[in-house]
Amino acid sequence: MRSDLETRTAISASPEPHLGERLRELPDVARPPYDYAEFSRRYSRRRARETQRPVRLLAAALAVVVAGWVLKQGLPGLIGTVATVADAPQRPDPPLRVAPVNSGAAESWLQAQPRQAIVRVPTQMAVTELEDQIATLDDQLNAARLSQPQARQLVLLQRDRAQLVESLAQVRYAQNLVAGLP
Amino acid sequence: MTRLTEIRVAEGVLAGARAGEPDAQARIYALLAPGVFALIRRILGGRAVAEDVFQDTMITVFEQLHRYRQEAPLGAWAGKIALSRSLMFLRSPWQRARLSFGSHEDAEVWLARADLSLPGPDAAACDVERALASLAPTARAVVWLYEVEGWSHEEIAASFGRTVSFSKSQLARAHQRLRAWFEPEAAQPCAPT
Repeated sequence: MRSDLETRTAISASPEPHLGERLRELPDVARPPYDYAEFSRRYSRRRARETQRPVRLLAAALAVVVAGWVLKQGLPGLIGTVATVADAPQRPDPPLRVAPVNSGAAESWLQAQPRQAIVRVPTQMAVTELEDQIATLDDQLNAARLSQPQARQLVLLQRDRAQLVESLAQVRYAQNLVAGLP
Repeated sequence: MTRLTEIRVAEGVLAGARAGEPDAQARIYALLAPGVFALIRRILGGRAVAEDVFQDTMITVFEQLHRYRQEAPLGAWAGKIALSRSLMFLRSPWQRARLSFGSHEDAEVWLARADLSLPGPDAAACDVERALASLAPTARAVVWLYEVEGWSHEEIAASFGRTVSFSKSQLARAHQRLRAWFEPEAAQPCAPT
């Protein structure tokens, strides 16, 4: 709070010296938007909502877990079986154990999904980022196939691509859930 | 009507309200609500957002009533909560944007209701109200805190989480705008001779 001296100095320096006075003269009461009964009703409703909030959060968390499970179960082939790929005879490298290389089902599912007109920016950024990375890997795969195809390199690239497609499918599925699409 | 900062309540009513008695709370609400709502409305401008902040403020008043130590009148204490809630609102970028969405509509409604040809003190008050309404929400809050509540630039800066220069420049610009409002001819740029 300013001291009296500071206030006097401020008033004399003000381009509108009587402004404070004029503002203080304004009516300092206004009809409140509702009476106590309505306030009390709104307050009770709000408290009830706040009490239910942890339950809602728990339900949302449960929904995410269920969605993840449905995604894994409902999209056959999305999580492929672990495959062992033996190197070509000319390759001295040891056998390579790789995670899924088959992303066909996920890709078919993704292609069947409509593009959403209204999107959430953070989620859409993740989608765009994943799509860019998949496109980059596609380029690398094409380049690898055109040059001297090496089974090990191709498998690694395909594995990375399959993982990205899987992630993309998960994000798109989450988007659908949020948008209320089937 | 008693000014908000001068509103006091009897010990019995206060004790009843603290104990959650609806009658006592209703009495306190009836005493505080008009002043609290006027203060919030004056700082925030828009009616819809003012109603939200008003509800938050009154809830806080009743929830925190046990902390009120009666060092100042109850109205002054409630006024501080109202100011704090309004400033918290203004600090939120999203809420500021929300305020600016609604400001045009509010201004239109206000202008439609206001009879600006009224003579006497009402017209003068109308003019000051209109001048205040012409300011951006942050500038209006700074003017109100500085001119009416008597806050220093340091206090205003701290409450907005900004520098003292912010408070000073906001006030200077608001003064310039208000001067243009009150003395339009003085604010005109000089014609070349």
